[in-house]
Amino acid sequence: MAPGPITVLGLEGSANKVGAGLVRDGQVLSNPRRTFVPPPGQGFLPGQTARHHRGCVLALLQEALQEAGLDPSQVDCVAYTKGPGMGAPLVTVAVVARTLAQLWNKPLLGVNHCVGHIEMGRLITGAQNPTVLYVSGGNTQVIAYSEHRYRIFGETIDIAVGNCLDRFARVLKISNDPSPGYNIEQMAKKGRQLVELPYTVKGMDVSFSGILSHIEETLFAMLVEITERAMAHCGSREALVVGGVGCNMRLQEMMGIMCAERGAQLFATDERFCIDNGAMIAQAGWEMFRTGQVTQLEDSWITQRYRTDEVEVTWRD
Amino acid sequence: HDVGMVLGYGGVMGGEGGWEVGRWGSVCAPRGQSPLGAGPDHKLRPRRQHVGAEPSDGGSRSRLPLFLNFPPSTLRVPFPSPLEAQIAHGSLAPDPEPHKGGDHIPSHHISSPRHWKADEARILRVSINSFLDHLALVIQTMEMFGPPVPR
Repeated sequence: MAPGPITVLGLEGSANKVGAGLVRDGQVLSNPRRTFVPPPGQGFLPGQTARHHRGCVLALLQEALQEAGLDPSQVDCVAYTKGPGMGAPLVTVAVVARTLAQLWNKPLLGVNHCVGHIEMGRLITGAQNPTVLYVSGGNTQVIAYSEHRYRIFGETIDIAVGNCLDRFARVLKISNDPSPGYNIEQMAKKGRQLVELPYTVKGMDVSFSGILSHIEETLFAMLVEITERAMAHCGSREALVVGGVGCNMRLQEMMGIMCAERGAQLFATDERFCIDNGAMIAQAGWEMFRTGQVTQLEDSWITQRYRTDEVEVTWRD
Repeated sequence: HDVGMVLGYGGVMGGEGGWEVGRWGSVCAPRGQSPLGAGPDHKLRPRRQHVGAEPSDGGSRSRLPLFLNFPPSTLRVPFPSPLEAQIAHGSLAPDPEPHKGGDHIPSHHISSPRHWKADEARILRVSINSFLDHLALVIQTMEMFGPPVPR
């Protein structure tokens, strides 16, 4: 590996966000992102999501380069999301990444989306060896690092917590702009009364807020419990929350209380980095690249299923 | 009697790299002109044909509209150089076909043709349209960030 700074371009598009990010030796130079927002009451389907990404990924790339003040010749390698995620959007982004890598004659790196979240969380917060709670629309996992693998200690046995919230928002036709989870959180803040499910009617605002508050409290308490159990098992003094649901302040608050009770420290990032973005793929790609990993073109196929613990973490001891 | 389409990767012809795309349906582009630049609608559509009463042979033949029995001809997608044709191939080859897609025989070498086969016309149409959308994206990427750096 040649000495000197390493600059990585990362491309992400496994769900409804498409992002391009440039990272150089631990510095995020640019990280623009676009979100496909369906109308209220609808989720996003692979075909339409892929079409959205196709329509804006190239402009996003230009923006990333311009914002970073870089010429393509200064990019050392091209990282993209290999998986997990939705097939059609993954292919759309992968196809662009492969083309760029070949045009620029630079190495290609297929990155695990979850590892991207973890590495960006570690970079931004400086946490040394945290137990990780990864919560998003597509994933819910509790992860701890051990011997070159991110071990999955616990996970959802069916749907992700963000998926649960998104579906609930859909039923209530809550706006998907900027994201259903964000709007649920804002409405839940106004809730003062917890109501028992099933559904009760007490005037529009109060009953909605009450139900959403109850939903949040229950879901988040479940997550805090499994994270705490993993921390106890590992004797961990740090917790890191990543993934879109990690933006939720109530979740951070509840996690913070649990950590304080254990004498541990909580780490979290803001919406720029916990929501899917290109720079996180670039950061994980940077770690992989500097420890000698590359992805050959014929091995660069995308995959909808890609477990976090399948990745060989060559960059940590 | 599967519905078929052939995608062939041409070698150097008159100094140009290029592809031949087997045609199924009514889209055709003159040589040297990319069908993808010809207008917004590059999607292939089947010609509606009356399926006459045919003696049933118990097989798939009786389900197919008549026009699908026409032999495939070719559609040419020119690239400025063999290298660019190779790059496009490298970008599109690695991903697996989705479960419900038409079978295709993956080709790893630029000069071997790529075939589509499916039991139903609509599966073939979705598969080929998706492929052409990705091909268009590759070409747009090359136009914006190319030409390839010298090897």
